Amino acid sequence: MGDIFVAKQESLKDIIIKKQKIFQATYVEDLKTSMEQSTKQLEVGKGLWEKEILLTPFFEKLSLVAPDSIYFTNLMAKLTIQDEIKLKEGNTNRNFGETYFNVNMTGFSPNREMLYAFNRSLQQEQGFQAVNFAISSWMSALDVDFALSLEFPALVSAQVK
Amino acid sequence: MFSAKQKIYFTILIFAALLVVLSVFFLLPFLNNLKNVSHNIALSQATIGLLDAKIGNLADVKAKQALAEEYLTRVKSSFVDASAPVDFMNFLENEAQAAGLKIKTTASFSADDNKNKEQSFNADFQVIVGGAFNNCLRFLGKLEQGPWFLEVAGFAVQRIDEKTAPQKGFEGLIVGDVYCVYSLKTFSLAVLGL
Repeated sequence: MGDIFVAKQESLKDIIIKKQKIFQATYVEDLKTSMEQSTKQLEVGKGLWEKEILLTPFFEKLSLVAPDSIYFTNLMAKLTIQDEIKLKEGNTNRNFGETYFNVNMTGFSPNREMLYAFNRSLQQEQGFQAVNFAISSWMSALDVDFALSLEFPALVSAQVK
Repeated sequence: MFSAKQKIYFTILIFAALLVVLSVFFLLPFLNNLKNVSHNIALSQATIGLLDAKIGNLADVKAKQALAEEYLTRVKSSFVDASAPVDFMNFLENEAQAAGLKIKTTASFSADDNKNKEQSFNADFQVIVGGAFNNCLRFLGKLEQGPWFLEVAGFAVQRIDEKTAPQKGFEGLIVGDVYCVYSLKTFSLAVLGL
């Protein structure tokens, strides 16, 4: 009877060894390595999606504040990173490394009052910063050609979605 | 001599002594051995159960790895192949056409000196589209929501008026339409260490 138990014990040992061998197989190690690599790469991909800078929010905001009678003839938006030089120059409340769009526009307004109202809307609307109209923009009462510069924070996908 | 009763007692005593001797020298070791073997069998069965669970997990990991590979393939397809950005160019042209815009694209490459040049460069594109301003904004939205990893590093709009000379490839645009220039930064697979 004791032999039966011993035989059973031996057979179980064999099963254990066979099952353990599965974990010592090369492909398990390969799977582990591959899984770690995939996870890292997916993390990088996720990071890129989340940090994707969007310009559309700027235009969405601009279309809310710009009256229909005002139109733009030129517009330039440049992605800018706050660097040390600009920090030393002062006149900024941005942090080092902060990203924003530096926007320069020219346009046409039928009259000065409408342009002034547009200026006030820009000042009041959250997001538009360092709004600055060229002094020449205020010289004519009618048929005003204006020039404007402003800054807009570079929003990333994760902030918008 | 012994009486019959004494003989019986003596016999019982001898049997009792024999039983004790048997128990001490044979039965107890046998039972101990049996106990050990039983314990080992129970342990082995528990180990097998554990290993079976691990093997089950391994199958689960394999399934997850297959899923991760599928996602990774999608992620990889979001990088612009800077050596031959055919898919990306097709995407730009199709989206521009869908938005009713004329398009012209030029490319520039920025190589990262610290890495293998062939693998590390990212492609910067300058995309010029011409048409209605709203369509240009729609195109911008498609770029940003599209499947590609890219960054709009710069954007310029120029309104076409009577004085603006038509550019080659943008014939048919009318006064009030605009030229929009998108400076796009795309990322290559080198970002993933590939």
